[in-house]
Amino acid sequence: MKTFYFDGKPYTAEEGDTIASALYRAGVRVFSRSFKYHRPRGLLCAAGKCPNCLVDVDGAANVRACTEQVRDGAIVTHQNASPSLKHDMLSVAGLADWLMPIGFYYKTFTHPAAWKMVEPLIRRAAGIGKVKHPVLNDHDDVIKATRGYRYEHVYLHADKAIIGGGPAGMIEALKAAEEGLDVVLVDDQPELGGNLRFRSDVRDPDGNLLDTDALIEQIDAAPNIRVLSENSCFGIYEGNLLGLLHKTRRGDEHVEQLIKLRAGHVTVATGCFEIPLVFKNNDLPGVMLSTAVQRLVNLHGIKVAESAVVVSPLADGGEVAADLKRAGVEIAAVVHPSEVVAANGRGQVREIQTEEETISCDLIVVCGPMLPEAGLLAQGGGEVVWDAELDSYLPRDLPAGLSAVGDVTGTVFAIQRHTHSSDLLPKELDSRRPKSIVCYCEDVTPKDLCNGIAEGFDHIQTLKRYSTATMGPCQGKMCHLATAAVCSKMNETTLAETGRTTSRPPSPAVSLGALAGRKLHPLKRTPLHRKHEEHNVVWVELSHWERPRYYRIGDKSEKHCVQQEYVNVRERVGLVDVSTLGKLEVKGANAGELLDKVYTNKLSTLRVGRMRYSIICDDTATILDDGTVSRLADDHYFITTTTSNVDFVQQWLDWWKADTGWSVHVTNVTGGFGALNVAGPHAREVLSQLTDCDLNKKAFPYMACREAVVADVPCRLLRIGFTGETGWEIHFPAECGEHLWESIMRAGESFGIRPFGVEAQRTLRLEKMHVIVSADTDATSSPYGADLEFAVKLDKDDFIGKPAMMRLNQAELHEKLIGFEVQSSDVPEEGSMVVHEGLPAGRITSSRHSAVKDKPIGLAWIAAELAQPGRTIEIQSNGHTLKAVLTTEVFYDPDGSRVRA
Amino acid sequence: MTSARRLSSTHHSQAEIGAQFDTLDGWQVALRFQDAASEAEAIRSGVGLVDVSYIQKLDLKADSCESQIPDNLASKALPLARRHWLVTSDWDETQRLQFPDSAECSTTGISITDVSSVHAAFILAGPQSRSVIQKLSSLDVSDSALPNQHAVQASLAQVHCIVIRDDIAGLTSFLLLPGREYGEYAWNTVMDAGRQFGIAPAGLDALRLLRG
Repeated sequence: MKTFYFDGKPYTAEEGDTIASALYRAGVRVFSRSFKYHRPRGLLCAAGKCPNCLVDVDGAANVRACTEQVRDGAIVTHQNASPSLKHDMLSVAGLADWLMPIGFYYKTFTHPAAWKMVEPLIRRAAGIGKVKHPVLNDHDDVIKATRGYRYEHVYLHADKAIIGGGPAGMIEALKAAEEGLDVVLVDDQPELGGNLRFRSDVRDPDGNLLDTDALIEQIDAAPNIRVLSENSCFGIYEGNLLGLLHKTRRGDEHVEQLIKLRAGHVTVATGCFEIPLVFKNNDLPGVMLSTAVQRLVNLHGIKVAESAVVVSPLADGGEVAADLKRAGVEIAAVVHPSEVVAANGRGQVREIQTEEETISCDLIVVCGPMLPEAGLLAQGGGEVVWDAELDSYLPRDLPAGLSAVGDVTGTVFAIQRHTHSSDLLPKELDSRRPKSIVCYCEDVTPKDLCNGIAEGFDHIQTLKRYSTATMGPCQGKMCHLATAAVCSKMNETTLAETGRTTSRPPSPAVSLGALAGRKLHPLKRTPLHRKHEEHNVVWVELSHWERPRYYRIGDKSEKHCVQQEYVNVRERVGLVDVSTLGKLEVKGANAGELLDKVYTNKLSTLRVGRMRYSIICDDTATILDDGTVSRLADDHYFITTTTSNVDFVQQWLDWWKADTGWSVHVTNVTGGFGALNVAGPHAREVLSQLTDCDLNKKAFPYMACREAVVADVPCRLLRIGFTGETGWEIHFPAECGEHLWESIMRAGESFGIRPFGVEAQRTLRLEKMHVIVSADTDATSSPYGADLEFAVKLDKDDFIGKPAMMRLNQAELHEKLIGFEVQSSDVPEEGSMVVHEGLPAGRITSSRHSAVKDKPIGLAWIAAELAQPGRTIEIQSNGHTLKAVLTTEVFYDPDGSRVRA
Repeated sequence: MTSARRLSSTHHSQAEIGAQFDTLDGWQVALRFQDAASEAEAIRSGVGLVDVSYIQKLDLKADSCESQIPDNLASKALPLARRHWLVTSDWDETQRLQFPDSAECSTTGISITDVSSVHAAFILAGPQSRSVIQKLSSLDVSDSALPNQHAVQASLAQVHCIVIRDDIAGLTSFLLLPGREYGEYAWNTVMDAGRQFGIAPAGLDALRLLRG
């Protein structure tokens, strides 16, 4: 026995109970209030189709109580009623309906000021469930707010997917399994069986009685059938991709799984469903569909009422009347659908009014028209059209890969009598009170629809949009036929001519959490991640990498810490993790040719053991990437790229290699090599303790590369100086990272070695005026404007961008990248505007305080005619105007003696 | 060989949950977390995850489909794409695979790159291993789509990953090769996805027990 709470009151549930069946058994008749007029609503379909039992369960809004299995301790609360379901203040809206005719939004609030005034009030009153807003201030708050809910995506594949676990679906699954197919059988109920679960006398088209237990047994025994129970299929997408939603519980967690099922073939066996009749007060609690009554009686053993009136075209009330009698319910009368005028009662059915008489009862059982559940077939590309002979919508012209079996195809309507569509609507469509409801979700009445049609919205599609009928949580399941019937009656057309609105996923609704799935935030880590943590690192996320921004010293400010790191590199020696650099191996007899074609520099002539700074441009001479190219052997180059661009560069090389017939192969080895840059006046002394490689200036000059063992680790050493100091970039197998870091730190201890982060590195490089591609360049930057023409070799054979560069080489430049020194102590923000005589004349791309110059420095793109060394410019930053002097001279060590030392 | 300590991307994560390591060719390899027998049983009945990042991985690319793959690698080379193969060494094999240097290769139109460090390597083994992958990837890992000793490239938990079906003594098993930089992320994400199936972190000893 399970206990749960509804509006604070405890209820018990029996095995197999849904929240709705347990509440109904305990005497609860009103489950919700309607959307617009706040009319009390009770169970109608009990099958998860209508909007009448939407409740909040454990903080999840808009859960259908009639399909939600009871979980011990669940907290269920009503929605859309205040202060209580019984006494809802907003039910006065029903009396003010003349103020809110169809389309009243568009008619009333035509002035923006009027809308602004009423919008907050309408927003507060409108809507059904409430999303519990998480406070998204920090990570902990998000976890607190979403505690208990887990959203996941699952991907499944099958040869054949069958939607619907009723008799037709099960028979189809067994047939497919016999053919050896891998079958997935999807059903939204907790157990297979479909309507066999609550109906005793179901026969196949040949008249044979169907045996549920035998079918389920065969399904269980088939090894190639996977049954997904309690999975509702909410949509079918291109390529037979099905969206399924599965709600379950794992320990304390509510789990919502969104399953993406890709199937070779989809068979829809969703059967048919019953819809309500339109008469006065047809939404009064106590008016229920016959299938809902059968579910409550036969599935849950509930004596649903004392005295019932059955509205049925069959004189004896048919199957449901027999079921009711068995359950001990008195059948007060059986009324033909065409006879019904109104249900009467306050908040609960007390009597039914027919053309001739008034009959007391506490339940009105409506045997409404049956319609195929064909929404998925329409989404999947089939047509769903009205068949006047069978009096139903029927699917036809299904595309390849999609089929239908069972009641959804309409076979049932040939053998089973149901209420004819001509008895669906009341005789008078425009009576105002008591209301008869067409659309239960949005409280749309026949009169509303008539008014809409009279106003010119006489097509089913425009009528839908104007009236909102068929647009609520039931997505037209309950009201589509009635809406079309009103439309056809008013237009004097047939239902076939009236047509249908479009079926779109998702139906039923899917929570946004389930659509989003699990929040994943993949971040790349360098092999030295834990070593940085040991040094009180402050991280910065750059191109999906976690990189050290700086290392905290006690409670000192960032500025102080970065300054210390900077000074240490300039005066002693520093260590920076550059593992995030993109790294590519280019191998093959034609490696040099490919690099010559793609890079602007000449690389086929590079000697083994040397490297070159190189840039990649596109055919308009726009800079795409830069890096170093080292030649390790005749047919083996090692390339570094910018951190964010390595995948692009690899694809770019592969693209330009295609169809050349060249023997050359590119492999991305970024994660495989860690990289450390040891830089500073003592770099050589530190490193020479760890390697036998001759680091002498002559043996290992600037821009040379060597393969050598450092601290027992086979490494690639590149003599390079992004920081402007003597330094080596050491590339090593990633798994040896911590060992190498420790070795270097130990060797450098007596020289005062310290790690430095991205911030210090950016200042160091800016003092050397080294450009960072995509920070200092953008989609209009060429090597000529960016002062990188030294890396362009126009005298080599054709390469990508050469014609454009030949032109640029002759042409006047529009803009130039140039250095500047600010004449005050304020560091202008990166991105600030350069102004000349009150007009924009450029933009700042990099700026930092320079210790060497003892003033702010930076790089800026400036109109070419102004970009003259010595000229003073104005920078607008943070509301201030700063004066700066342009310079082309590198701020630090202009002759490069330190870097070559 | 080198005396340098070699650590997998998940070394510290494993140490924090009690891994006992042994040194194999410089690599710190987790042998067990608690006891190998229960780890093997967890794998046999459910699913387990073992870090075998130390295994050797070679990337082979050729000019043409007819290019001759060196004999000692040919039987192990699994196609990843057209004219592109991956060779992995067995997790219980410490002998390094020998391969010709780039000069020798370039005459045959093949290039071989040792990508052992480029990829982390995790064995996801057990009857529930497929269910774990289904929570992280749209890859079809059924017997027909990915038979034993076949490799595919896929997005696993939103990162690129080579997935090799590599059954252990008849037990469904996958070798996952994400980039090493995503190693720790992938390990944690797979463990989290496997929690509902009782996924167990396991060591090399458990694998050896399974192989018998």
